[in-house]
Amino acid sequence: MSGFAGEPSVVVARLAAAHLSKRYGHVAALNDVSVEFRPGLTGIIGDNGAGKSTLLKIFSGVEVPDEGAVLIDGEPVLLDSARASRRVGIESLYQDLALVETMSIAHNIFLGREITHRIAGLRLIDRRKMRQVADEALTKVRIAMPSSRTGVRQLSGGQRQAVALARAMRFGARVVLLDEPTAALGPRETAAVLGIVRDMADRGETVVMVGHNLPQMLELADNLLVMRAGRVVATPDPRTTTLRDLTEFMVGSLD
Amino acid sequence: MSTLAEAGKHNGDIVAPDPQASALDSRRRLTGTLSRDVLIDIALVVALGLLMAIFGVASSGKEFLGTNIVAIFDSGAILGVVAVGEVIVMIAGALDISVGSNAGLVTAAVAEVMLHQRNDLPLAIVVGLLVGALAGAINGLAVAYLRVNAVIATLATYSAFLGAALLVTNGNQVGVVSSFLATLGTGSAASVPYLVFILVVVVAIAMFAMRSTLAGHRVYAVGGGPTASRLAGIRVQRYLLGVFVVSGLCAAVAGVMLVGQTGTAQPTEGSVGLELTAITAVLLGGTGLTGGTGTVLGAVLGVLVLSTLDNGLLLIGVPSFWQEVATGGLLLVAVLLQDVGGHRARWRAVRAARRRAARSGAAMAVRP
Repeated sequence: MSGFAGEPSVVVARLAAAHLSKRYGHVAALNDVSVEFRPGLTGIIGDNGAGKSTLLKIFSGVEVPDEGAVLIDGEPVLLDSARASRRVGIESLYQDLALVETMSIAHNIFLGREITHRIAGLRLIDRRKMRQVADEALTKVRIAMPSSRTGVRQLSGGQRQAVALARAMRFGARVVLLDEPTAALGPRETAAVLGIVRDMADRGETVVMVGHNLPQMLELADNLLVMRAGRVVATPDPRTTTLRDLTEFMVGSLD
Repeated sequence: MSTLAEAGKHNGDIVAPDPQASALDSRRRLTGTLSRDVLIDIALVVALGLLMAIFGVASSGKEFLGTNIVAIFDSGAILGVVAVGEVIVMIAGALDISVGSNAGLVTAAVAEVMLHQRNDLPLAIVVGLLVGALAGAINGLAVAYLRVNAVIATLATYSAFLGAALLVTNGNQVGVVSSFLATLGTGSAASVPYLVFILVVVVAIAMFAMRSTLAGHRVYAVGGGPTASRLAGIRVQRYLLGVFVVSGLCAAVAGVMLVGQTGTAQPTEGSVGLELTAITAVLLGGTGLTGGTGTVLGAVLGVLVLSTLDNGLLLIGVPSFWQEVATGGLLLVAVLLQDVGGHRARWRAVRAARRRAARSGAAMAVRP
């Protein structure tokens, strides 16, 4: 997991941004941001308004940059919709989760990618198969879950997050984006969800996580990216960086 | 750092079963595997049986059952077809107020084609269905692509379609001479009216489409979580457009049935007002206004309950004005009953909180 943003490397990054800029009126949310993300867990930290969420939104196709490009495996890709982003293998977990409340766990895991079979030209859904696969996927998420037929409405915050993560894992996403996945969770559920995230990174997926909890980030991430006022200001090594260093990167000099 | 160590960089530590989750599982066992939809369907069938029994006894027996049950289905057939379109729109989280005047416009179109194209019935029916579908597409385009609120968009087209129907017919009733349509509208086979056959076919197709096809499944997804569906790559706008076209098509079928039943184009009579009764039936059938829930079967059972009520009250000699009152009362009671679980849970929680507060002498009560 060597060779992070800026460092010369022979391996082409899974996901990269080249000279991304995004303005909202007079505010520059992103200002010429170039970064590379490699397999493992990369944590993005920064103060409010630093541009973290804007960067993630561009990767997930929700926002389109004013300038610059997103690269997948070194090739520029046009991400003009959530659909386009998903098609190139980017799976996003949104802060508000993006689950259909009225549907079951299984149907949420397969949302937009339902298992179907064709009979006389009609695409019929295969509920049993989806339930089976979903139940199997749920055993991997380290958090106690009811049957996959249960409605998402009846789940706790951590369980919902686990459903969203199971969905990302199930479809072998090449890049998983997480925007504060534990913001609304209690300590136990936070631990479980972070466990799932860590598992994904250990399996060699490229996981990008925005977070506010600095000690957590230092402990968990393989790489760190600090943003301030729309720019990437530092890419410290989490093994050798202190909390004080991080805070200083985030807000400028502490003195 | 203990929680983090737990979350850890090591695999294999499973979090202990969540008590909340197991409580949830046992609650599911209590209600069996019956979903809310199935429970509502059962309740509607029971209500239907009760109504029939009450009216059967009140009208002193045999007269009510037998031929009258056929009459109930017959009078509900046209409304039923409209309600099928309406429930699909409502499952998608929208509403279609224009279905009644759309049906009226279709009758006008059918009548005009018959009048000017030497009674070419197949052509008239094709034009009628096209007009209905096109009217639905206008609604769909306005709601899905121009992002007009569905209530406002279809309220506007309700008025526009009605006006168009009056323009086409010059405000007159236009007679339609077709023995085929007349037979369709008033005839029967083995004492089952042809209109009921049409209803059964429409309901069967709709139930299959909504339960088993990918398109139907996604209509539920789009209605239950439009944002989540869009982010999951589902083309939400297309599905919205689609449900309005289906609803327009159902209104068109109802319009053709109406021409058969009455032998005339009915720009207003018999068609306008269908929308509100259809929405009532859909709500009775357990479909909410928020989308993502409900069933075609529930809506049809709702239609049958309404026609049974009308039919029965008429039979036992209750003045027709009371029928409207009874319909309204029924709707209120049904919607309250459907939510009774939620209300009870909240009440229990509130009462428990008050008891706790009283025990601990909470300051809240003291505050002026």
